[in-house]
Amino acid sequence: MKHMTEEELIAYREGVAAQRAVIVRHLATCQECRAELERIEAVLAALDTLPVPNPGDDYGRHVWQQIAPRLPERPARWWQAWFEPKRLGALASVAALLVIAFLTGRITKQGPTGNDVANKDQTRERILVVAVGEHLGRSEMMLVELSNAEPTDPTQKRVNISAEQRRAEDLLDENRLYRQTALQEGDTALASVLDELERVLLDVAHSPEEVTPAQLEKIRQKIEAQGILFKVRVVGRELQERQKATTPGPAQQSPTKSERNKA
Amino acid sequence: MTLVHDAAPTPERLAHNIELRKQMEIALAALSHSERTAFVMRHWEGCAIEEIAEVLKSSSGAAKNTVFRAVQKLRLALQPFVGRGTQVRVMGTES
Repeated sequence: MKHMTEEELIAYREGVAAQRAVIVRHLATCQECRAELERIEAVLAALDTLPVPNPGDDYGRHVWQQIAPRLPERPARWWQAWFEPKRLGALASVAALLVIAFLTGRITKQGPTGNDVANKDQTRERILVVAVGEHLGRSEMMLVELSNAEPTDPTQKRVNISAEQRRAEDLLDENRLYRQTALQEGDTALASVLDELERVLLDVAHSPEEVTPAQLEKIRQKIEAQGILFKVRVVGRELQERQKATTPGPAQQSPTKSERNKA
Repeated sequence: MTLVHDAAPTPERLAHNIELRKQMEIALAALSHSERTAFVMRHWEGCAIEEIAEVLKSSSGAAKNTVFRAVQKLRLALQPFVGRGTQVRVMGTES
């Protein structure tokens, strides 16, 4: 009698055998193959006692690509973002900005201290304005480059967007922190634009490294449909004006948060 | 007098289990990246071969082969520690 191959038995055990009925019939009559299947079972059953190992980096990305379109668009809880190891880099850069701003304030502001509280608030806002302004500038640049991306070799059908992806990942971390800070500062208009930007960055960061022209067009359409580039430009310009207005110098009135929120 | 069944594992059994666990971790670590991905997805996650093929960027046939190679390697490494019938038969032969 011809016995089943190991491959056939493993395929049967894993439920992917092509000729399942044939194997079932053979096992019913062949003691030796049944014993061999039991030995395979014993190894796999032993492996079941292990905790599920990490299947690899590609797996997480693939699962994200599968579930992302089905997820409701709801931002994550703000405090979760602060405790993820990935965010620590962005957290460190924000902390560094705060330290620099603090030291700059100490060095440059030796004058009268009558309105310290108001000045502190102004400094905090200035830091946010400068940092978010730069962040929006970098985001705009990345989105423009992505919109204009083309295959490096015209004979190639796929476009490599891995560089834009890496930048989107970095921007995503910063974006979350700035959005939370804007919310805490009561700047809901800015927080709302950052929220929209976050979704676009999330899409880019979790796209495949190489996309077909059709997939790239889909990403472009998404960016255009949300008008995110326009919004980023408008808010970026507004922040630049705010930066000029909040920089110590001749008194000048600037659009306040509440005015912006109203708008 | 009543006999009470002692369900606690013997020290030998415990030592064997620890050794088996160590060997399983070594065997899993020894798999190639794609073999480990395929095996974990199929065996632990219950993913379809097509899903594995998509992650591995390969055909379904190749993904199936990768699962098979992973099980074969794990079996070769772990069979001596799993107990009964430690000899792996040369399969597909006639008797």
